[in-house]
Amino acid sequence: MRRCTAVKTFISLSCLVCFALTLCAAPFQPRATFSLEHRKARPPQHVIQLEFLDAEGEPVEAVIRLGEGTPLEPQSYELRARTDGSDSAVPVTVHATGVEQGYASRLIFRVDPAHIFSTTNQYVLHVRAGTLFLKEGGQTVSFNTGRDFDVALDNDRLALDQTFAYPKSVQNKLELLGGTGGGNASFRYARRFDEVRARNWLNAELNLKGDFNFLSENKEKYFNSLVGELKLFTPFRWNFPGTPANQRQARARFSEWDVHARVDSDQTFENADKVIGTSLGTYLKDPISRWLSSYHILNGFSKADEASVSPLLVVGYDYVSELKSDDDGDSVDKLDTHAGNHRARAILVWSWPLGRNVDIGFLGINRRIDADLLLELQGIYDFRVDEFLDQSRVSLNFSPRTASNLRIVYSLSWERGKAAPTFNDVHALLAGLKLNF
Amino acid sequence: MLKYETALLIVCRTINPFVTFDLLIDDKTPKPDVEKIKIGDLFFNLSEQDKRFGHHVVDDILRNLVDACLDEGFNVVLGKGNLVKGDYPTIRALAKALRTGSTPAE
Repeated sequence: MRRCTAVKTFISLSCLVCFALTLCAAPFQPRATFSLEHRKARPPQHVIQLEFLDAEGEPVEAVIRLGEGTPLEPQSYELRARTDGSDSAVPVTVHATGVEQGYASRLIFRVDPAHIFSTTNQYVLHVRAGTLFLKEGGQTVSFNTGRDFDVALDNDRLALDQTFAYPKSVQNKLELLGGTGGGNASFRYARRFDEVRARNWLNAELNLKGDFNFLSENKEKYFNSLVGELKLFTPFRWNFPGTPANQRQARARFSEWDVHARVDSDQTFENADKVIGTSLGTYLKDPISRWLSSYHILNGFSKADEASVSPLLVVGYDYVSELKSDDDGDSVDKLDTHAGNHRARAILVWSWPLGRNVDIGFLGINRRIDADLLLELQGIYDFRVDEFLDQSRVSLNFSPRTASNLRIVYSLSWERGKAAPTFNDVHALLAGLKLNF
Repeated sequence: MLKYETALLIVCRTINPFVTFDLLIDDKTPKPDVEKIKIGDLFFNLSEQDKRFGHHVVDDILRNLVDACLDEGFNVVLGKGNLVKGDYPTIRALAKALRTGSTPAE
């Protein structure tokens, strides 16, 4: 009996290995992802799509034969939702899209609209044997005759889709940096409330963010800033006056305008200001960044073949008044806000791509990296005290090339300037890593 | 299905304000070789700036892509996760994705 079980296990493992080798040898790789189906006058619906990628990682068009196998039979598939201690099936219906001459580009799996996907589950699409036949070299060949296979789905995509599909969503970020003054941390937390979800012309958002040192006695050595904010915002596209009629979309610019109420505090809540203001963020299209981003200097000034993000300019006005002050002689740089101050501010941010897929073997590191220089320049002018305050961050970021979904960025940063509400002068050289999740 | 040329134009019009290069000659003509431009990291980087400054650029891009397809008379399958996770590494791949994910609106 035990020998029989061992033989069965051996056969099963052999089949699995053979199938894995078959998939590896196949010219196309299957990819199943969460996505959103958009129809007129309906909120977007979560769906799952199955597509096949070529060697370049691009989806292949018209590759799934509809006349052979059972690609459009719901019984051919099983969507499993697994979590600790439970494993359940989610009923699906299947549809083909991108159909040309009897071949589909993608299979779309719909679920009951009442079903709510959860990022606490691990979803797997199980495809039964004999379901799929693919077009390969002008002929139709079986992809999985005699072999079932599973494709795991990535919950990161589901979470991102949920931030678009649902009015309430959360985006988090945490950065940990060690350097001058010991350990520093930055965090962001956002919760969004879309009032008019379909058009997105008026929305609200709650933001909490902070830059602080873990040790309160070292608070003067970093930006020492905690911010809570509620804002109303609207994104829009616009043209400069006089733009020719046939260039309106080609030369359109994007801006986002907001009105906000905010509380700025230090990390020990000894100094705090309340702020009411407005800001306008605009993506610039300027000849300098266009020229600089046209070449990757770490790749021997080779012509860049990627679209890099334009510089972002944010300008704004704030009315600031004092909530709390510690009247501490140490805080000599704190601006007096008890009578109410008018402030104008501007932030310019740009990430300059320096190199892509750069070989750093000469450093003894057997990984290829992407390198970017992140420039962030911020200025604030306070009309009542007639003082200009600036804050600058320059970061050299290295991202290892990896297939992992977790993006790790190694960062070397120089940061200087003053941050609300204490406006203590800060000079910090930081090295560390950033995790985005 | 949406025509590829239409899908390419929709993609170029939508992302043009956010990239350093000009992707269009005029409203109806993409620049030559624009299809090969890599955009695998573009939406991730925009998403990071959205988090940093509380903006909503990636949502606006997705909404514009979808609205343009709906205006052409097609439903479409495309997720924010597909954009940010770099599922479509080039402008050509994203245009093809719009095309192959489109079905005539009923």
